[in-house]
Amino acid sequence: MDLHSFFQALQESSLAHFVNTAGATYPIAESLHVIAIALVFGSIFIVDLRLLGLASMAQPFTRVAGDLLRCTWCGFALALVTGVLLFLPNATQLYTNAPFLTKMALLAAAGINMLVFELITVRGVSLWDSVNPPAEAKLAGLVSILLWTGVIVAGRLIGFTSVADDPFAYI
Amino acid sequence: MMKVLSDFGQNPISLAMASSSWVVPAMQSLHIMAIAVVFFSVLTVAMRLLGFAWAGQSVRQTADRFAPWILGALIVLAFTGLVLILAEPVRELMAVSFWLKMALLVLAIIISLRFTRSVRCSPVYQDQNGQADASTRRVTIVTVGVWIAIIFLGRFIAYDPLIWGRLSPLTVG
Repeated sequence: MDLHSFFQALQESSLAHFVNTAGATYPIAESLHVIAIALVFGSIFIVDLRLLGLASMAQPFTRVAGDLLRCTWCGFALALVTGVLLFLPNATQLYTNAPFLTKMALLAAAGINMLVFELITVRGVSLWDSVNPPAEAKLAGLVSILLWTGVIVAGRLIGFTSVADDPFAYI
Repeated sequence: MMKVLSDFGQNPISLAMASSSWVVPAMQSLHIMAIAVVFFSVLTVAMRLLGFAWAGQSVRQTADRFAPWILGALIVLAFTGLVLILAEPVRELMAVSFWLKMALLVLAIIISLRFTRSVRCSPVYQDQNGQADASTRRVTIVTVGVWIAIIFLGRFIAYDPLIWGRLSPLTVG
């Protein structure tokens, strides 16, 4: 099965059909996707600003990050589920759509940035937990803010380039 | 009304914004980022009030920490929202969802202002381990619900006829 037939099959699945035609399911999934973005971006933004030494300086970094991590993962899970639901009805257009692919690439880059930070940079956290973080931690925070901003912009651009069966999107 | 707005949409600023390939998506992206900041800030204060996070920090400290972000992001929301209205006045101002969203926004702001006042007066909010009483907890949950509804209605503006059917002036026929 080639790539196109695979996405064609997804697009013709009963779940895709349901999302696209069952009343307000599509806009509801979109709204939940925005709430998920708020959870992910909101929580990561606070951690990034703490890394940059610009906010929450009264609390240790590990404390700030620890309180927020659950929100980030809950938000990410919700974004993934709603994202798949939004993808299905437009699968054949989206898998070659430039903003969509850009968004996926930026998401992957944000994941790698987080992984490098968690595996390497955070090792010395005991030295800077309660003070202004070192340059490499600041860099991770800055890169994270830029990448997640890119994810949101690319995500919004998808709606301006590919709205296959979405007759209301331009109203 | 539709005619007035559609004529208004022909003014040079609106036309320039609507025909630009980047103004509307850029403003929408900024609008989403600002709503993320407001919603998450409200949520963190709510989590402290309900006892889910930020233990060891008083409600007053938590509220003071996030208030400037909420205010700043609300200003960004007002500015980007205004640009979006100018770019597409009919789509926004004729939508039932838009006016419901504005009504809920007023409600959310009134609740926040009242909360800001009480947070400064009540001794329990100055205490590191202070817990909110039952009625405050209820108001907290309602406030988060109001913000969730605001986000839904914001997205629903693009789908007004689908959501509201004949109630929406944008429904054709």
